[in-house]
Amino acid sequence: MKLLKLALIPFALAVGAQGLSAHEDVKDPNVKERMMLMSQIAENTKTLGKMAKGVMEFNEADAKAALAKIAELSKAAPKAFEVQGDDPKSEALPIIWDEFDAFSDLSMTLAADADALAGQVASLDDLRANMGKIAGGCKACHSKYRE
Amino acid sequence: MRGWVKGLGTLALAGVGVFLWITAPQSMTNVPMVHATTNDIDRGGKVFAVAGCANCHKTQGQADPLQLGGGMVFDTPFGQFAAPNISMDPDNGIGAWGYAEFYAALKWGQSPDGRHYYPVFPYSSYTHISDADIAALWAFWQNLPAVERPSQDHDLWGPARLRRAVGGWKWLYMPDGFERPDPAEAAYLVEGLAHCAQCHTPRDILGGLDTAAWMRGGDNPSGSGRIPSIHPDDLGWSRDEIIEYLSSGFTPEYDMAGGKMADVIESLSVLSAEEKGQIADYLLALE
Repeated sequence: MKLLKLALIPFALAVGAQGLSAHEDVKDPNVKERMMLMSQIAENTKTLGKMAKGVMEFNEADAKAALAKIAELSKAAPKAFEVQGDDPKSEALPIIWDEFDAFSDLSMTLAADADALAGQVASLDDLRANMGKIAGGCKACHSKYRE
Repeated sequence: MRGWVKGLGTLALAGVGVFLWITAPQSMTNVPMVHATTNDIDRGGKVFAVAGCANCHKTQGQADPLQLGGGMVFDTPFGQFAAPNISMDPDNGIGAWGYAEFYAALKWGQSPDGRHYYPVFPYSSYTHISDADIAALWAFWQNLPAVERPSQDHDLWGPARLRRAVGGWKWLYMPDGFERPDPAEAAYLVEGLAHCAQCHTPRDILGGLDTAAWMRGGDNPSGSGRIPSIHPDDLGWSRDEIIEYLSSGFTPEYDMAGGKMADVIESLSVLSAEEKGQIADYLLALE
């Protein structure tokens, strides 16, 4: 077992490094932090998406955990965007800081939806029926506030 | 000495002549009227969506895609362009136009009084739209609401104000045919109606599409940032992944489309899965 774990370390490091590398040339720490946060939301959405499509087997606990994580990250998102920052890699539109309350509200709506679903989703059909809600939550914000 | 002056004068006159000839507007009598009386509003609505008319022309500050009061501003290297009112309002929009004027605008990029539109209006793609589809679109247009909002003027940099010279741009850059003609249905969707290349292909110094870098991304032609390449060498997505993105907005990594592309995906929702597959096949076949 220990041998297996040891064997897995380089793999885990490689995966971790890959996750970081996308944002490694982001200089502004504020921008970097919020990009990492968004990546984590995407990662958890990917778990849900793969389950919904049947690429990954449905697992109730994992689906609920992913939804709870999306809720937690969405709640944290407005704070991560408080400082506008300045980095060429940023895709956040300046209008965010003109209407920060509306921006925050959208994030909180996604958080509330994901929270509610985390308590409900018990089957693959549940997940499939509600995948659109999560996608809609992402879209509502990205279509207005992202390049 | 006098001969030299005369020679130069003749050359200059010839130059002006060539300029006027190249930049001359089309005659309205060249508009083919064969489809003008079509009533295919359903098809027209689909053309309206896929061509993305509302994505640039909808009244700013509201969400209804059928309110075409304009106002979106495009920051370009040539100055600021403002999308005009193209609603059915007869004074502020195009409500007083007939089919021929509509056709000339889309197909030739030409106003009813024979002036050239600036190519920020993507008529170099719309010129591929079939006569039947233009007529269907015009039929659909008849039921659109009038919006009273007046259009703003463009705010352009020096030489770019010389509208007549846009005729020269057309002479240089208006396509004779499709860049990648096979398969025909896909080329019609990608290069014509959906005009993907207008953002996803880089532009040269005169604002013409650099066809040698077809779909390989470039600076955002209307603002900051870059538009990504959708060439298969760079994109690396499968057919299903492209269709998924065009449907839900999710990338293979479950990032969600933003900005203008979110609007594009919304308006492409009228396409069938088969048609989205045609777009994917077109992109995957690029060399």
